[in-house]
Amino acid sequence: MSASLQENFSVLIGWEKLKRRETLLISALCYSLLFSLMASPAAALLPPWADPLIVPAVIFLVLAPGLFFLRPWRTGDSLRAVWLLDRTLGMEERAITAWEILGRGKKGSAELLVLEEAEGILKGVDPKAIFKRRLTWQAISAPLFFLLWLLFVFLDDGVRLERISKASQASSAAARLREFSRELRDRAASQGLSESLETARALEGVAAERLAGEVDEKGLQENVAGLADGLRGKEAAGAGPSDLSFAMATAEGLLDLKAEMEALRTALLPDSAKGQEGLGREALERLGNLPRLKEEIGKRLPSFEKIETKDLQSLLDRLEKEVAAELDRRTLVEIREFLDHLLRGMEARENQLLIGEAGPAEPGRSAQAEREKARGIFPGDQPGTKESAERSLPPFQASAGAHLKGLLGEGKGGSLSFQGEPKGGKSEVSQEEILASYQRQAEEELASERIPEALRETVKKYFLSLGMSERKK
Amino acid sequence: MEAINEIQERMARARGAFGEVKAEIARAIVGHEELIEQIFMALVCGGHCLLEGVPGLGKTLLVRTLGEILNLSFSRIQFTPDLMPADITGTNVLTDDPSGKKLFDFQRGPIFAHIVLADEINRATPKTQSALLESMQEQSVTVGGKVHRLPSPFMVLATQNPIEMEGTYPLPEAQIDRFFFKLMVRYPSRGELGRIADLTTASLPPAPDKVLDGDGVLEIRECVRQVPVAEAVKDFAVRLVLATHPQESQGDGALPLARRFVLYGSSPRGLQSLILAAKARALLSARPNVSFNDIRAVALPALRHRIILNLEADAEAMSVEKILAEALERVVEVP
Repeated sequence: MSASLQENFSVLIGWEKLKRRETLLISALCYSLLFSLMASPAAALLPPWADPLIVPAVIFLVLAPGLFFLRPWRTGDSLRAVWLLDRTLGMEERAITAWEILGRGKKGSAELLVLEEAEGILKGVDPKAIFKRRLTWQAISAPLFFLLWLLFVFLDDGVRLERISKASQASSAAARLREFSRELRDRAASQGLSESLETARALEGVAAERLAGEVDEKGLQENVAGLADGLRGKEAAGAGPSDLSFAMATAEGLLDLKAEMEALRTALLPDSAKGQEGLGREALERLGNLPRLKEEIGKRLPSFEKIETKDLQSLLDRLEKEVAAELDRRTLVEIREFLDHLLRGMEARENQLLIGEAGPAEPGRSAQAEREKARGIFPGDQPGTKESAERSLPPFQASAGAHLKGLLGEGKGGSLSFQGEPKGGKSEVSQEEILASYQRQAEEELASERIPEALRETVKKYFLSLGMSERKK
Repeated sequence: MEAINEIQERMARARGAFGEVKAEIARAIVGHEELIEQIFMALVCGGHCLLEGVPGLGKTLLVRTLGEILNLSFSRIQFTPDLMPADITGTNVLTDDPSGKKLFDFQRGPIFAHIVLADEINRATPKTQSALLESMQEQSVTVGGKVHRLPSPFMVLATQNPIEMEGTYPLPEAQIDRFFFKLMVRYPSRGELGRIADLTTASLPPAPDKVLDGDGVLEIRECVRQVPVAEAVKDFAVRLVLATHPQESQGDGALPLARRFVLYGSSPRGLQSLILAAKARALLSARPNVSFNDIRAVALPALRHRIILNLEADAEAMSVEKILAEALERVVEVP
């Protein structure tokens, strides 16, 4: 008798517990969506990594355990469930009395009578049929809130795309900075450029901070700007007239010069070991095969044939220091240019975001921005659009007689830099041919309608004067 | 199974006895069914009743009829201002034994009966009223240092008149708290008045039959006490009693009316009466357990005389019934 009654109560309480859990989960879901909806105007305040899609999920994960903690199933809840059964079936508290009697040890005759009567009434009663799930306002509101939330999140392109753009921008700028700083670090280490190496490490640190999320995009921008300003300060400090004749040489020339100095040092080793005062024959022959070094030594020591080994070595030391300093300086300039470019890119993105936030951009303004982007001196990380009025460049053919013809347009000048593997050996085209082709090109341009006729003579004189000054040099 | 059958039989006997008592009383008393039921409940619970009503409503007749049909000894004490305690309890009288030796012999007073009618109890002095204290609570009388047991079952049915208060002595709180129920005897309806006229102006009705004896009453008493009460129902009764207190903070909180008009709430005896009466009601309703409705049904007679109102209640004409009605409405069955 007791077993079947006990089972009845267990089924009833189990069912009520299940309903409670469902109700709490639905409530948590409803409140999560409601809070997400209420917080959607503040989505811009979320950190870049926080996607609006995860906001209700996070609230739900916090709220649901909280609700379960605040409203755990207690004995009073079981009592209430049995009491409701009494009320519903009109049992006049037979169920509640029987439920309590079941928990007692010894049962009197009157208590057994209560159990018998309760069992008789509850036989065949299905609590699930009596106490059906109720439709709470949370259950009704949850789908509505969900639809509203979907409208807010998915249909609001601006909010979503802005976040995605912000996230990609953050990752691309910092990643580019880190890649550049690593390459720079390797290069500076191999060439012995102390300041460049130090700067490369600083850049890598700044990039790492951003990628680790320790600073935001604005922080990265500020750090990069600080580094760029520092480099600019160094440039200004070292901008005085240089007495180095190789100041105008290319980086490759400087590196060649450095290699030649190393070669000469190797050749001088036997002379210094012998304690020979003058240069040996071998060293002189070697020096004769080192044109750049020979030129530099010649500029400093006109009669270097009579120089002593010791003096030559000290000259080489000084030269080496100067070459390293020059390479360091040029690398720092390169770093600064890269940082400036990076900053410009970041600012341009920020402006685009601001324009996006303010509303649809004006057609002319957008075109101008595209034009400016297309004219950047460094390739961007997104494809640009071509101006309809701009002509496309002629196909570049890497042959001896090919010319790269520049195009003139309004506004700032543009340029393209090509970097490729240098071909070994001497140039197949002579300097005279190149000069002649440039002259011919200049004349053609002068003859064209793009230069007003009244100004053609002035322009021609200007270019001729440049040629004369070069010849004077 | 046998135990169940036995308890079912006992419960059926109790209900049968009650039915017979009601039927016999109905031969002499018109109406007052609820009053009769409540008096019977008090009897089977071992309690005493205070009946209050204006003169001429049949209070005395009702009690006297009950005494007659119960096959129990019955005595009536008319309380007057000059009534002394010894007139109720009895006294030691100096007598001679057969050898001529003088000795005190205890002469039992009218209290030594199963059913005692204390008519117009508020006309006696508090000193005399208090003579009933021990007998009502302990079912014994102590005279001259000797305790005399009263017969069992013992029940005091006191009546009092709410009007003509001049020359009366309101019952002290200790005395009034010992009454299981305070029952208000209402004025009969139009139909009942007609029947009363028929019954009392025609030839005298035959004397009622004796349908229940002392043993029968004691058996029902035992049966009543076996009726189980669920914790939730008991808790409801407890919270109901607590709700009558003006500074209540343990149950559902003090009720607005109680906070304003009540000086003292119900005593623990109120709770005892409430539970026991509810058990009796359940038994008489052929139910083996106490329900919330049983508690509700007996709350008024069990608690109304145990709540002491303040002066503001007198000024505002606030009644205990209103306060209890509010308590019954506001105290939830299962919190």
